Parts: sequence; C-alpha cells; structure tokens
Amino acid sequence: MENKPIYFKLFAHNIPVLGKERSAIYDLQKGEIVFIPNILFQIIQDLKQSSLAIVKNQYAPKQPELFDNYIDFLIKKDLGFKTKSPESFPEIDLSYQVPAGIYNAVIESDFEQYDISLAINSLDELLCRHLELRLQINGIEEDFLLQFFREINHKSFRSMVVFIEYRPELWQEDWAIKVFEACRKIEQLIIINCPISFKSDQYTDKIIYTTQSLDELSIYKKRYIVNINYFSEALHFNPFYNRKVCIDKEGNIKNDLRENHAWGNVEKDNLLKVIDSEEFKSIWEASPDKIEGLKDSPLRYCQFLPFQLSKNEHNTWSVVNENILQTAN
Amino acid sequence: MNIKGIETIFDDKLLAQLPPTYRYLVRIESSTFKEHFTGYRFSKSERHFSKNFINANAYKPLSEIVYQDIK
Amino acid sequence: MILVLSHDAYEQGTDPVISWLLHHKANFLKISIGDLLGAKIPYKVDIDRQDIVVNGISFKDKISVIWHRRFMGEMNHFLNFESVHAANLRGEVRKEIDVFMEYLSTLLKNKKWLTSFQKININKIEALNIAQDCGLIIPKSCIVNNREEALKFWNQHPEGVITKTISGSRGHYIHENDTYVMLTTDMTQDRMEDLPAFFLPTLFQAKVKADFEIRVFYLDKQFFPTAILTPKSARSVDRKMDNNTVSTHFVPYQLPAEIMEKLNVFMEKIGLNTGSIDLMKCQDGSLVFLEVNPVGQYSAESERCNYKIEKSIAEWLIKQDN
Repeated sequence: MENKPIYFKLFAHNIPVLGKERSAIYDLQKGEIVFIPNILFQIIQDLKQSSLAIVKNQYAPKQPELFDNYIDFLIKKDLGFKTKSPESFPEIDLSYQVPAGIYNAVIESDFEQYDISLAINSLDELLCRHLELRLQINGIEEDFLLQFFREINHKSFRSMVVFIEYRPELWQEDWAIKVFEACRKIEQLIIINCPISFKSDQYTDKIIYTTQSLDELSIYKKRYIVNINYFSEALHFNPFYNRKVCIDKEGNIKNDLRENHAWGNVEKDNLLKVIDSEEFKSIWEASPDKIEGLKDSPLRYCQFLPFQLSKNEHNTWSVVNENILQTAN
Repeated sequence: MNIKGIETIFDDKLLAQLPPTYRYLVRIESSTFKEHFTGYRFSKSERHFSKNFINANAYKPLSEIVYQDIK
Repeated sequence: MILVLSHDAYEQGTDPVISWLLHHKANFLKISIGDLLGAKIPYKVDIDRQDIVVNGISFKDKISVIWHRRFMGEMNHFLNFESVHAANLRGEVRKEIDVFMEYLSTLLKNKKWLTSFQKININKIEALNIAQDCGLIIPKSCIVNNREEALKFWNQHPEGVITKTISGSRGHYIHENDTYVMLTTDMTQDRMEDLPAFFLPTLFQAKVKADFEIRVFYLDKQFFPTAILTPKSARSVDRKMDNNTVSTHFVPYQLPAEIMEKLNVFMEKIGLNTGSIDLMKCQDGSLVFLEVNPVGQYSAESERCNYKIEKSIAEWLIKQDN
C-alpha cells in the first residue's frame, strides 16, 4: 500500500471541458465553473492514465514547482484529491436519460382558437414534466378558469409556470390566488401587462404582477446553467430545444413560439405523431458541439441557448442572428 | 439544515424510562429540516396513482423567458 | 403485471420509479394501505380460491412481481381513536390488520418480491452478526443496561464510542419551531459519566477510524456505490448532519470484487434482494459494514452520481414481469 504511486483525481462531478483559448472545469455538484489554461486540461487528461510523478516529469522535468502549483491550485479549489487507488473512483456516467417523451412544453391560448385540453391531455400522455402556459382570459368566467386548472392538478406534470394577461379580476377578485390554490403544480404565476408591478401579499415570490409584456420578458440575457442534467443533455442534444414542444395561440405546433414554421396544428393533426416525426425532432440534435461559433467555447455545455438555428450541410448548425452569439460569448 | 444544538425535550422523570439516546436529540429548525419538505407544493397524478405528487423544478429554463429574473 | 405497494403520504422513492414504469408502458397497479383500509377501492379476499381481487384484477392470476415500498408506513393513521378505550382499541385493531396483512402476504408468497413482506423490518443487530459470518468486518458493538459496563466498553475503545437505536429507527419530535431528531450520538466522556446507573438496553459501538463513508444501493446483485468524501474537520458521527456541507463530495465508487461477493452472500443470507448498505472505508484500507436498510432512500446518491437507480428498479420489475 505504502509503495504504491500517488495519483491525482478530480472529484467525479468536476468535469474538464476543452475550449479553443482556455478550458473550464464544471463543478456539477456546486454549480460552479473554474477556468483553467489549456495546458492544465491536458495535464488532467494525462493524470487519468499516469501517476503524479510520471506526469510531472513529462511536463516540467526542470521546473517541477510549476507543475506542483497547478496541482496545489486544484486542491486548494477543492476540485480534486490525491489517492493511491485511482481505480476505486470511476468517472460519472454522463448519459442523458429522462422518463418523458416531452420534457417541457410551452402553450399559448386565449381559449378560443383551439381546444387547449387536447394539447394538455396529449402532453400528460407523453409524461411531459414541466409546463409553461401563456394565457389570455378575456371573456372567460371564473368557474371555467378554475375548473381548467383543477383538472390539470391531476395530470402528471411536475411543475408549471403560468403567465396570464392582466385582467382586473385577477387581483381585485383574487382570481390569481384562486388559480394558484386550485392547481398546486403551479410554481410561479406571473400576471403580465399590469398597470403597476407588485407581489402577492399571500404568496410573495410565487404570484407576481408585472408591467412587463411577454416580448419584454423574452429579451435575451446571458445565463449559465451548471448542473449534471443540463451538462449531460448538452453533450448529446440541444438543451433549449430537446424534448420540447410549443403550441401557439392558433394551435400551431412548433419547436419554439418565436418561429414562423409550424409542423402541424393540434386541431387537425395528432400531436403525438407530429412530435414523433424526424422533421420535428431534427433540431433536438443541434448539440453545442455542432453549432458554429459555439463549439469552441469552454462554456458550451452550460450556456443558455434560446437561439433560432438554421441547419447547414454536414450536420452542423448556425445561429440565425450571429450578433446574439457575440453577446452570449 | 440549521442545527441549533444537542438537547432533549423530555423531563428527567420521562428520561429515566427511556434509553440514553433520548437525552441527546439533535435540535433542528423545522423549516430547514429536509424531511418535512417545508416549502414544497404537492399535487396529484392519476397516472402515478399518487395523492401527494411533489413539485420539482426543471433543471433548465422552460422557454426563452427566465422567470427568476422577473422583479 | 407489476404490483406496487406503497403509501399515500409522500414517499420520495416511489414516484420516480413509477415515472419510468409509465415511460416504458409497463403493466402495473399501485395500491396503498389507505386504499385497503380507508374504503377507497373495492376488493375481495376470496379465501376458498386463495385470491385477492382488487378493482376486478385477480392478484393470483395477474400479478407476477411485487415492489414493496413502505406499505405499512401509514398504519398509525388508522389507529387514531378518540375514546377512553383508545389504547385497547389500538391494540386490537392493529392485531386485526396485522393478521389480515400476514394472510395477504401468505397468499402472495409465490410471487417475485422486491423486498418480501417479512423482510421489511430486519433485525439490525442480527444483520451485524450475519455480516460477520459472511466475512465482513463490523464495528465492535455491545448492548448494555448499566453505566459500569458502558464505561468499561468506553475505556476499551480510546477511538471513541457512539450510540444509536437498536432497531435502527430514528424518531423525531416537533416542538414549537424546532424538530428534535434522534441520530447517532457521540458518547463523550461527560455523556458517559452522566449515564444513570441503570437504563433501558442501549446499543454502543466503537467508532470506526474512517476515511470516508460509502452508501451502496443494492439491487439483485447490482451495486450502486457512492463515496461520501467529507473533510475530516467538517465530519460528524452521523452523516445526515453533514449533507449540507458544501465541501462534501458525492462520487461513484468501485467496490473491491471480494467485498461485492461477501455482500451478495450477506444479502442472500438475510433474505433481501434490495437495500441501502452503509459501509465505512477505514484509514487502514479495510471496509467496515455498518447496516443495511431494506427500503433505504436512494434519490440523492442516484442524482449526484447520475446512477438513474429509479430507472434500474423499474427495468428490473419489468424484466421480472415478462
């Protein structure tokens, strides 16, 4: 035991990612990113195979203190540890698996132009986990609205975010509170286009009244999402589009509401069949490694990517508005 | 989890009838005790035969709108 | 068909498996103790035919595999009586239910079970002896009822002594805004000296000089081990107190083949095909067996190591059903 060589291992939840100019270590447990020079990325790769002494001699035979500084940096940052039994600490399996045909859905409705319950029932059948609703409720009776939400309370969604266009009754007659209580899947209820912004006294941070419109809320902001699910999904798929379906106010089935192209309409087409078509799912495969301008970024597996994409030849993709990508990087 | 200390809620007479472990209970602020699931919402799921179906947030934004940013 | 036995209150290990059963379009039914005792679903136990028929489904003919997950956990809910005779009633009704459940488990004894009815509450002290018989190392342990013996044990173990419940149960008591939980207790010198001369039988164990703890979810010879690496300065005698420490790392671990073989034999001897096993990796390299929980929680370790244990459980059930 004593004579065994010493190895260095990153904790398995710390994953190094190579970038063009610099690299990053994703701490998927703490949700943090630590930047490292590319040379350290290479050292970490070599340390998977060889002991500290061997790699040290390989990289800095004349200046071992440089190598020691790198290892001290990793240990000081609590990113890894020394061990004589590296075989005891395997890497994390980064395959992406979720028990749902659709992970998240975004549905717009004014309760007039198509039957929203058709869409809700199909999504329930697909075990859709998270639902975002964007509703206009002009001309809707209170009972109808509450019954709509009570029914969703029995479906298989794990959480919901609901945007409702302002109507005085939402606040004055407590409709918002009644909706929130009728459907306990709602994690966030946001009333948009309000005359003034304020928060519910009863459910602070859960029910929010804002003067902002959906367009204003949709403005892109840079954001990084560091967790094991996002990371493993981004390795294989586009985490913004993968297993997502959107239905616009007219019932059109889309990959994203901001797109013009629709793959069908819930009134005329079977939602399950549309979602299962290769054409609909094509964009799911646009993983960050396949996106021009993004594939060299060390942050490609944690970046929020709400970008419209176009498909190139050779299975690569481009961001339609390249300026946005400049902002993002 | 906010641990406030090690103490007991039982009086000496009762403690005399109990194993010594009851003298050293860990006092935790209830709202931070994970097993109470304080702050979680529970719905139902007919498909799961579940009458207490816990809400779980997505690991990523559901759309281009990041609602956490709304003030 | 798969039968899931669970309860109506939230049970974190059940729904994630059901999501996978649904995703794979498995043929399953879930019933709770509340369904059987709370007049929620109609059923008949046909004693002549030795069958249970729930919602028109004959368990004898249709059910092939049963996942037993904390089914009896909500029993006390049905034993709340407002009466001067409450204690008597509780005892009698409990006995009625127990005998009924025992009969149901007899009717279903030839099905494949994931945690058989009889093994849901194993004797944790006996488990230590079985582990020892299988060649696993266990902590030095004793059950005593007096201070003198306890102090003697404490003096023999300068590395320190802990105490925990004999049954493995972990009560908690809500008082005002706080919850008081019974966890593993470090028996310091002060605490040892404060012990009364005599007390109810209590389990004492010598502390293990641990490098780190390993929690293993076991599923029919598959191992999902997670090493819980906590800096020594931040470590408590009960890991449940450390989980929020930011410097704790949950990482996959590869158990030595020899230990896996011993654990396979142990699980077979004790009659469990699943469970959460707690081990300690010692500074001298050895692994010490602490306990097995037949229906342990697995979600935190599964998520952190991306093990997808819930998927494995669902697929195991489906495989047995086919």
